[in-house]
Amino acid sequence: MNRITDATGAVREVQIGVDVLDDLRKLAEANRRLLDDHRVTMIDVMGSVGTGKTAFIEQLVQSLKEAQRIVVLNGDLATTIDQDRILQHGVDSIQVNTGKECHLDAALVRNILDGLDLATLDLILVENVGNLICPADFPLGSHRRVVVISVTEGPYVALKHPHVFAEMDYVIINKIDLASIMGVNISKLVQDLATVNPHARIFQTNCRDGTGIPELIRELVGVTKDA
Amino acid sequence: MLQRMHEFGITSRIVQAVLRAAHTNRANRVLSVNLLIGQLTFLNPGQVKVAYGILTKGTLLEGSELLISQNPGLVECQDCHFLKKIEMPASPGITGFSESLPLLVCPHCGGKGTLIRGKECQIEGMSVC
Repeated sequence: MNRITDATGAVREVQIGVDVLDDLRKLAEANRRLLDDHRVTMIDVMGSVGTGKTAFIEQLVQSLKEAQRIVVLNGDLATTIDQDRILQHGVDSIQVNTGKECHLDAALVRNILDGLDLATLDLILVENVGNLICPADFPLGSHRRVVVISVTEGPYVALKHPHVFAEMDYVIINKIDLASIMGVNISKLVQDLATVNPHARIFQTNCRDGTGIPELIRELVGVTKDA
Repeated sequence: MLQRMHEFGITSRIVQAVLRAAHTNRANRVLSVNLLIGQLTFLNPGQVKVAYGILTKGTLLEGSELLISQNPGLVECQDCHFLKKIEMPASPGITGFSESLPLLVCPHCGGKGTLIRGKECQIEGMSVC
């Protein structure tokens, strides 16, 4: 490139040393501390469009709403479809429409947290924007990161999207009732997931009828509350 | 407007950070910016450059060159401390990502690995006048 200098200045090299992703990760850690100070647990639920994220959150809400004070953050590009579903359970929901942004980030979540009375809450469930790629780069400060996949996405999702699974604490394989119809071998899928990320806990559910939900809740929320 | 907004949001943060540094250093113009992107992020360098060109218009950074280098990923085994480098092609292509990535399993002992490098988006420095 042409280096043009003005009359007064020669070219100077300046060190900056700012990592913008790391800044967001630090903001996520600050969110986590804020939540811890108020003894509020936050769970970030990720996954492609249509895997059953909202159905999963509805199951959690239905099982936990008597015992815990819950708010759900519903992230989507547009509409209040998911929020409307949550509100039917008599639980507060905040719809976060990102317009074109493909994920929620720690700064956006901080703005929302600042508008909540955390002293009146026990649990925040975040439904991230439907997307199996981008949200993995953007921790929000949640205590648990969960990805919901389903057998209708085919048998290869774990191997095709290793990065998102490498970041997760929990992987939920949903719609297991459709596995044989879809020709998906669940034990092979579990094996693939374990290859990509041996740390993640894997659960199998049918979020429509609640299969697998009690075991999952015991671990996901029970452990968190006692921690 | 950009259709893919993942890079747009992060690039906007990059531009803001560089502008702050430019003001602090009393720069008249920014000529180039050095950025290090980890290969285990979801940031596509080409998309970051496109977003950068759009977002710097009308600022001290307008016309500056964004120089991007990429850092391979590094996973350390928690058990045997074996270090596994995860290298990817500089830009995605037909042959680029044809193999799956068992990211967190140690190839040496089968233990659990932890990512220790490859998630960076570090603005290293800039040339100003």
